[in-house]
Amino acid sequence: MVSNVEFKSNVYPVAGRCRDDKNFLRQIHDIFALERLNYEAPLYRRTSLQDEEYRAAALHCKHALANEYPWGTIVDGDGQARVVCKCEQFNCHLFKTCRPDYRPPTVEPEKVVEPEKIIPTAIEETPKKTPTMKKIAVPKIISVEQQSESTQEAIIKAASDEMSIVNGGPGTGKTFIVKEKIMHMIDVQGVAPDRILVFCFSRAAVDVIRARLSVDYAGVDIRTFDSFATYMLAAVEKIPLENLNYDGRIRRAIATLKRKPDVLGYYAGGHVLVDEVQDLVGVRAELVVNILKILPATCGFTLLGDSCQALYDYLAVDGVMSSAQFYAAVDRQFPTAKHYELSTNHRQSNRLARLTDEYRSKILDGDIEKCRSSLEEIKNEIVNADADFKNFCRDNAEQYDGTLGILTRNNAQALKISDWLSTNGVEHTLRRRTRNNVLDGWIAKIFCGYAHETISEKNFIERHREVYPDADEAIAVKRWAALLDTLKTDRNRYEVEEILRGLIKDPKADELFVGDRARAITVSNIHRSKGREFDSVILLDDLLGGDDKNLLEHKICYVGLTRAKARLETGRLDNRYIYFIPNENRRCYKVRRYRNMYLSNFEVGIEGDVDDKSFGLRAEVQEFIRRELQVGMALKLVKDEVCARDYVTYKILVEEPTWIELGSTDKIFAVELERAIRCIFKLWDGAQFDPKFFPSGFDNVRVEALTTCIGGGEVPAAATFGDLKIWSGLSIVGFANVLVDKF
Amino acid sequence: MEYYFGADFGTTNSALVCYALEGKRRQAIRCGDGTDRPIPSAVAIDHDGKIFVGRAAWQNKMRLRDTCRYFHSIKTILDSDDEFEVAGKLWTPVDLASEVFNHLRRLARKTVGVEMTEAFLSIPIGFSAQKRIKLRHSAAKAGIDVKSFVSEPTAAFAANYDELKSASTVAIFDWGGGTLDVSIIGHSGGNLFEIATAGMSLAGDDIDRKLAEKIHDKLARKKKISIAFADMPSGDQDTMLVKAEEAKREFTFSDDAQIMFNRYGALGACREMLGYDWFEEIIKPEVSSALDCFERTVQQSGVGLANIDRIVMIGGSSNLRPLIEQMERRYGEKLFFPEETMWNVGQGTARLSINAGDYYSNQSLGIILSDGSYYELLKRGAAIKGWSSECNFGVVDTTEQARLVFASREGRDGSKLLTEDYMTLSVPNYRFLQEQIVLRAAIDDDLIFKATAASNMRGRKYARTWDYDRLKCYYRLPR
Repeated sequence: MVSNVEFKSNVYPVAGRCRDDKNFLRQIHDIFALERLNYEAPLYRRTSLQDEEYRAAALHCKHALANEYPWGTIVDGDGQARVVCKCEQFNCHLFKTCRPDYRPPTVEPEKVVEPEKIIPTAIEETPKKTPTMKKIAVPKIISVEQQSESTQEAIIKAASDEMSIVNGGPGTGKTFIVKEKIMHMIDVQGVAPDRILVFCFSRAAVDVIRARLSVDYAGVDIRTFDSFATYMLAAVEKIPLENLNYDGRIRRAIATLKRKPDVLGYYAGGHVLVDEVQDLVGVRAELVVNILKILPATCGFTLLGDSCQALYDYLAVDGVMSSAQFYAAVDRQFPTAKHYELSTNHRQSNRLARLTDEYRSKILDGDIEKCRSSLEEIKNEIVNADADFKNFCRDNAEQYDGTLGILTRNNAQALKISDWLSTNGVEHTLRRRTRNNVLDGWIAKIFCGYAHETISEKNFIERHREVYPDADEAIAVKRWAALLDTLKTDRNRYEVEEILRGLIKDPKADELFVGDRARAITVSNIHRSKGREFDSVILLDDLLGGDDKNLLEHKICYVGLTRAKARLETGRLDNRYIYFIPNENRRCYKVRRYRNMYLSNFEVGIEGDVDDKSFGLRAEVQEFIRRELQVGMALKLVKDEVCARDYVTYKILVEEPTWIELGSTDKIFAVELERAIRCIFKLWDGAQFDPKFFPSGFDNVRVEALTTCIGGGEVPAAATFGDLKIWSGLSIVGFANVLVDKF
Repeated sequence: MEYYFGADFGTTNSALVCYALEGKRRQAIRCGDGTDRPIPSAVAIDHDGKIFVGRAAWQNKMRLRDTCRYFHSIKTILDSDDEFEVAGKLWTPVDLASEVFNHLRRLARKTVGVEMTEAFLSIPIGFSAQKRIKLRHSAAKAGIDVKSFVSEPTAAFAANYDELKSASTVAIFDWGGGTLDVSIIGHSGGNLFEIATAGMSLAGDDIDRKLAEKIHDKLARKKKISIAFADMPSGDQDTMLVKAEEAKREFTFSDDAQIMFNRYGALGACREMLGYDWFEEIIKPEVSSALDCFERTVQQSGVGLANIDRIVMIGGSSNLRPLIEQMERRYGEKLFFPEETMWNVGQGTARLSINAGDYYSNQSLGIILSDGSYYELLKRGAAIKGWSSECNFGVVDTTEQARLVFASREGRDGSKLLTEDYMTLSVPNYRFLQEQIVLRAAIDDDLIFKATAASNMRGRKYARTWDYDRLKCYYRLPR
């Protein structure tokens, strides 16, 4: 028998003794209990229902099974309690009479459930987006000679005591002019080679000019500004240079020039040439102005540049000399100087060249409306390839013959594209700095652990083989030559100390520096790409008319457009919320709006961000850098809670596979970080800055290169040679992510 | 000057807030660590016994990975009997939790300058009796007396009172590291009452784990090395979990996240860019489950979606972009994201600690008698604090066992009888008509309804107790 179980207790409240509580007793319905009740509470009068139950209990159906009790109490439709038969012996012949009310429960047929068929879905191949390109005609190189020779000739043949200011666009042959003029002055005008001084912006530019001048003209002094300043200080002032960076050296040089105006007297009857003057800003601009001021009257100068490519005008905001101010200062100082304009000529294809020429003339006129319409025309001509950088892989890269430049508006975009390319295994160069003054790590690897005070070529090659067993001897020879290049003497054996001193003073050869190995693909922002040209260029489209009410924006656009020799396309990348600090570094940062404004990313790796000395404090760190550290390794920056300095510092850490603290950040990082945060929270100067605003840390920072640090002072884990110490360091790069809390 | 402390001991973060009262003036002080944030509920113990708690443990979990044992999400294992041996000492979850409380106490000392000897603690509705006892015990070990528990949704409401005071029905969607707790709270006449609650234990930690596995698969496929995530060395698994969690957070704001490993076990140096679309796909099931849980709770409450005025989103996982996008699509302007999600519940708890003892039962509890009628023990609207009752029952049959079936009457008019809460208590009872069952019921400080049925003729060892930890209360908000 199936018992009809309902959810209820078998208890009832009782007051006093059970036997005496009639209310309680009335609740007893169980037949065995009723039976017991009969005995134990004989004075109790049963209710009629209880009577029924009791009587039904006495009856036992003889057809029922033993121990089965087919009677039960139910509450019927009217709410009345009745005792009824609840037998379920369907087979009994009396069943129908006893149970007329019985309705067999309907049994639902079991649903047969089909197991779900698993249909394998074909993995859809997303077709790789290949940028469509318009075929552009093969460029016809318009040779320089077809130019209006008169202007060029005039400049070249100008007397050595004349002052000339030359403005010429890309590909107008300025380098040619420099070379020809030098040759002319020496051969025709009889100027002594060593009284000709040429200033370039980078060592690369110096090399280019030197390469073009035959060896007969070797006496000409071709230098970078930095190198000139160093020379000033070392030769004239005899100041120790270990602890001055290049900006500092230039400032001291300016001070020297002001104090000793006759220091350039040697150049009487000579000439000074300065290339790319449109990029002179800040201390370098001041240096040049001061040099020109104190030149002897018989020494002329030629300044070459392209004001249409002067991209640093924004720096005027900072009270730092801008390009425009430089030109103005020169005009003021030398009102009689002759101005030349070189007419346009490109190594670009005809159609593009024509358009950019138009654009150029509008920019030089300063007419913004016309600039805008000119730009519109150009935009219609350029293919919008909508290059998908996220999935830019080797197949895409192979589409471009020759060199490809991917040019962005700011460093943040460049870093992002570089990240994607790296993830996809596409080799490329990320061009980051204008000046490269960081010594490559091989120097430290050789000398830290070199046991002697002196070294010869043979020692060097042996030592090189120890440190780089797989390297060709030719490399060792080249490197040795690079080291000696800094010294004026030519001996068999050298003191290590003097080699190191030479490295501080005047390192020139490319071998010595952290190299931007030239690769087929270059990623850079516009500012870093000046002076360079590529067979193909992909411009980010926010370069073409973001804020076109600003003449500077048009100049930036112009520079971008003139970098391409044959092929020009555009691509797109999100640029929202990216800002930059308006100084020479143009450090980028990104702001996030999530209920409030926060700093979300901050560019790291600007020169001066890392504290070189901090790498040399512990021997285990030095070991790690030389043995384990790889380029591209992931780093983390964590705020140093124990602040030893008066500015915030971040520890530079490697977290995995082993945890090690390498060093820390330096003042520039702290200063610019504070500046960015002030800007975000609108805390202008004078407002209180709470150190809590500094983020707790950053990640997405990578090792850019292993470097060499040379200097004096307290560096416990460095190798010492005489008064100088040498140790290994590293440079970092990345558009670092500000660490946010775990929610 | 009087100080009232309220703490939210969360799965991921613990927030301690203090209200300083001077006369009529009331000031909330958040006891964060140096950076004004709640502390991570994490403990790391290194092999020579040194203990790191909170931010120090969390920030250094990578560095300490090889030498320390790192414990997190302690709240979820509170009632387990696991013991951990570290540095020659046996640690239970209660010990670990008490280290966190110790740290909170130190923070109180540092921030407010006062010794915290008593506090209110917030707990999720449905936090088991076992866990409540353990939690109270952990606090006691740190010298903190838990004056009362407060339910987290109530605390959330109190913290956001200004925004919510005009609402009559509010849903609290609290998705954290360990659990999702959805509560529908009614608000009328200055009273807050819980209409329905539901939850699931699928939350942030589980999502992290899933992400870690998926990212691992991607990297393994890229490198063409076949190895399962579970087979990676545990140190590498931990590192991957950390990075997966960071990527998850990054997706709240950006469309891509970068994963960089210097050395990920046998896979070596790895680098991968993850896209938001991929992420969204991966956590779709979890987000769906959360949304379903929410809808179920709404349905269960019987109030109808249209009647829910606001949906308060708290807890870390409520920041997941795919979730927010779905919620916004369905519920649009009802959504409310409090300013400081991490401090919210803690602040509400502290606020409520100022006026204690204002809980009233929003539920009627009773017994279904042998005749099917409902015998009420706890009346709806009865004040909870100090409530107790005692009653004698006789057994109406001779089955030698007294069976008490408890039930709950709910709904605003008491008409709904919930079947899920039926609970049978069986007590041996041999002497029909002589032996009676004495039922003593009370509600303790942990807000647990305890009913003990004992025979009036036997020793205590034959008594049986029923614990009900899902007591629905309403809270009278302090002015």
